[in-house]
Order: sequence, then C-alpha cells, then structure tokens
Amino acid sequence: MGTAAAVVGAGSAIYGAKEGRDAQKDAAKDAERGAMQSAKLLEEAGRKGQQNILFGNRKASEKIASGAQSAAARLDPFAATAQDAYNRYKNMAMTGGNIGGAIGSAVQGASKGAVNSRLFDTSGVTAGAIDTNARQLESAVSPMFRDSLLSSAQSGMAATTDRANILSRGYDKLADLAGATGSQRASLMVGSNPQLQRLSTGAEEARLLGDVAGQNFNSQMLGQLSNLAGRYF
Amino acid sequence: MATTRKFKLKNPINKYDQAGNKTGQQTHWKFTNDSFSTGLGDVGFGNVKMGEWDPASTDELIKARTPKALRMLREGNKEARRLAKIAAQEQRDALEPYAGTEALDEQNAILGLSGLAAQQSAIENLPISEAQQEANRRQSATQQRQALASGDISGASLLGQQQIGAQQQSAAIQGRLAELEPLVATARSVRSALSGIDEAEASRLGQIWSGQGTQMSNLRMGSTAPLIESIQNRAELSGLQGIASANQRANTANQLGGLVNMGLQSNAFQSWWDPQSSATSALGAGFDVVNMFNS
Repeated sequence: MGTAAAVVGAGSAIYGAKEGRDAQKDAAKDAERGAMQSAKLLEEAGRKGQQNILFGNRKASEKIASGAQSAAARLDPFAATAQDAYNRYKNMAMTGGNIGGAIGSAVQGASKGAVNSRLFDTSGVTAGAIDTNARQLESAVSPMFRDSLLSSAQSGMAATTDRANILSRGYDKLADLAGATGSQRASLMVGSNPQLQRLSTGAEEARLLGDVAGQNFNSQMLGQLSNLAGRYF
Repeated sequence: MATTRKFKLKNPINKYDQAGNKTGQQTHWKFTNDSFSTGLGDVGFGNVKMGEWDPASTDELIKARTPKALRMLREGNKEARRLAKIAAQEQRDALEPYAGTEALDEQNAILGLSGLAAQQSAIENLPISEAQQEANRRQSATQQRQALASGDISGASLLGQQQIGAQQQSAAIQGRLAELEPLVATARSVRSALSGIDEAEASRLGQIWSGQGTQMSNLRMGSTAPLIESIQNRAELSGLQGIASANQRANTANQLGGLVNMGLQSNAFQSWWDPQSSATSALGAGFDVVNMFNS
C-alpha cells in the first residue's frame, strides 16, 4: 500500500506540475499575442499618421505654389515691358538717336503741318528745308521722351525684381515644407521605436518564460518518476 | 443657425444594452455646425455629435474617440481656412478698384512698347482739352500774323512756325504721359500690396494644412498609448488568472491524493485487499488514480 500511496503522491505532483506548466505557457502566449497586437496597433497608427502628414503638406504646397504664382502675376503688366523700354532707352542714349516711331512721325508731321498753308511756298527748296527742320525738331524733343522711356524701364525693373523675389520666396517655402515633411515622417517612425523595442523584448521574454516552464516541468516529472522507480525497485 | 450633416462611418460602432447584448450598429456621425454670430459674420464652432450608445469596453470607448477627435480637428481647420480666405478677400476688395492698368497700357502704347500700330493709334487719339487746342491755335495764328505784318515769310518764319507745331505736338504727348504717371504709380503700388496679400494668404493656408497633418498624426499616435497599456494589462491578467486556476487545480489534486492514500491505508481497504495479488496491481491502482486526475 505504501507503493500505491507513492504512485498516487507522484501522480498528483506530476498533475500539479503539468497544470502549472500549461498555465505558464498559456500566460506566455497571451503576453506574446498582446505584444504583437500592440505592435500592429502602433504600426497602423504610424502608417495613417504618415498619410495624414503627406496629405496636409501636399495641400500646403499647392496653396504656397498657387499663391506665389498669383502674387507674381499681379506685377506682370509692369514687368512685361521693362526690358523693351530699357533696350530702347539704352539704344537712344548710346547712339544719340531720335525717339522715332509714331512720336517722331507725329512731331515731324505737326511741324510740317504748321507751314502747309497758303502762307508759305512749300515747293522745291523750301520743301527740303521744311523736312530738314522737321527732323531737327524731332531730334530736339527726343531727350524728353528718352527720359520717359527710362522712367518706364526703371518702374518695370523694380516690378521684375519684386516678381522674382516673390517666386523665390515661394520656392524657399516649398523647400522648407519638403524638409519639414521628411523630418515629421522620420520623427513619427523613430518616435515609436522605443515602444516597439519594448514590445519586442516583452514578446521574446514571454517566449523564453514559456520554454523555461516546459523545461521545469520535464525536470520535475523526471524527478518524481525516478523517485517512484527507486521506491518500486 | 445650426445645420446638421451626416457622414458615413468607415467602421460602424456596435451598440449594447445594459446587459451587454448587442442592440444594433451606428453607421453615421452627425455633425452639427453651430454658428456663432459676430460683427464680422458667422463663425462655425463645429460640434461633432454621436448617437446614444454603451461601449462594451474601455478599448471600444478609446477607439471611438479617436475618429471623433480627428473629425473635430478637420472641421476646426476647415473653418480656420474659410475665415483666413475671407480675411484676405476683405483686403483685396478694398484695393482692387485702384489696381487697374489702363493708364499703364496707354503709357506703354504712347512710348511704343506695345507695337507701332498701338503707338500711332494712341498718339492720334491723344485727348487734348479745348482750352489747350484754343491756346495752340492762337499761338500759331499770332506767329503767322507777325510774319504777315512784317512781311517776313523767309526761312526764319518758316522755322518759327515749324517749331511751334513740333513744340505743341511734343507738349501734348509729354503732357499726356505726365497725366498718366500718377495713375501708373498708384496701380504699381496697389498691385504690390495685392501681391503681398496673396502671398500672406497662401502662407497662412499652407500653415493650417501642414499643421493639420501633424496634429492628426499626433492624435493617432497619442491614442495608441492607452490602448497598448490596456492590451498589455489584459494579457497579464489573463496569464495570472490561468496560473491561479492551475494552482487551484493542483491543490485539489493533492488533497484528493491525500484522501486516496488514507483510503488505501485504511483497515477497511486492508481487509478487502488480497495481499497475494501481483504487486503491480497496487502500482496499477495508483496509476488509475493518476489517470483520473489527468483526464
């Protein structure tokens, strides 16, 4: 009966150890599953957070670009003729030429028209003199119009500079936005790394604890059986 | 005045009664934009509303609050953008009437910067006042009378007449350019201001959009912390519960084993048991007890 009692005692001890091992393994699996679930939650939040950052910054860049373009376009009417005005002025200043064009024609025409009356004989030599006078008079008034061209060119150049600065600022803002986007996304990824690391470590520890529980059971069971065998034999 | 709109939920929310039984699903958010009237107009402080529901767990409660918070954020930023646009438009409306380029166009035409045809047309159509026309006429007439009176119709008089003609034409063109100059300068100044308004508005809208993206991502990440803690706690409690149950069962098995041993060693059993049976039958009896526990 002592042997039977020993078997019963060993059996209940083995049963208790087995239950303990199974419970510890289940606990380890629960912990591992929890860690994986948490990691997936973190990953999904990070992925959606990245999408939010990208979307917001994309809309921001659209607004900045369109704003810079419309701001620059306000100055287009002044900037458009700057170079032409400057070239004409420069040409007149460097060559001493007449204003020409319709202004020159108008001035010459007005001077000839003033003498095209019954008062003067405008044929022959007189006609030549009239033409010569007309050209000279155009030459006399040209400096005034040259200054007008310079004024127009200066105003246009200022507008051109402003326009270029507006576009440049727009590009600068886009550059800042691109850099900030990269930085925000990187921070979002790296920021969750410690937490992911902890979850990973926790899952690994849980697996190890499960393995240890199994080994402990095996040792205990072998111990019980060897004791029993010793008593029996 | 409040206006109510409905938005379909991506993931419907389950509804439960007090006993924890599922009673249905909520499939839409109701968003009531409560407007607040000010001297500058209505400002919408969006109020995201949900129907009545009992969450089955704190996890569900936390999960439901995140999309609500995101919706609040989006609506708030949308209202901020609307008001920022109105602010910029108010400024533009005040300056637009002074930003016309008609004076600049005429100035460019007179100077020949818009092509020869435009220049000719502009000069031919120079507006000259009646007073100026009369003054010009009198000037010419005076010079002619002087020539006639002195009998001088020589080259000097000829040149004098031509000079008057050229001078009058030149003065007319220069006069017109001088009239246009203040208008052109005003338009230039106003358009520069308008450019600044456009830039400032774009920058402000860009900030709101960029900020919204960052805020939304922060909300999402921030809401994971309590959920993760809850998951971890649940896993830990579940494990501890299992171990406690196993310990309980082991104790029970030990107690039962003790009772069996007492029975095996009792006088009643001894008198019943045949000592001449194989010793292995005792071992077998013990293992039967063990198998009983294991089943």
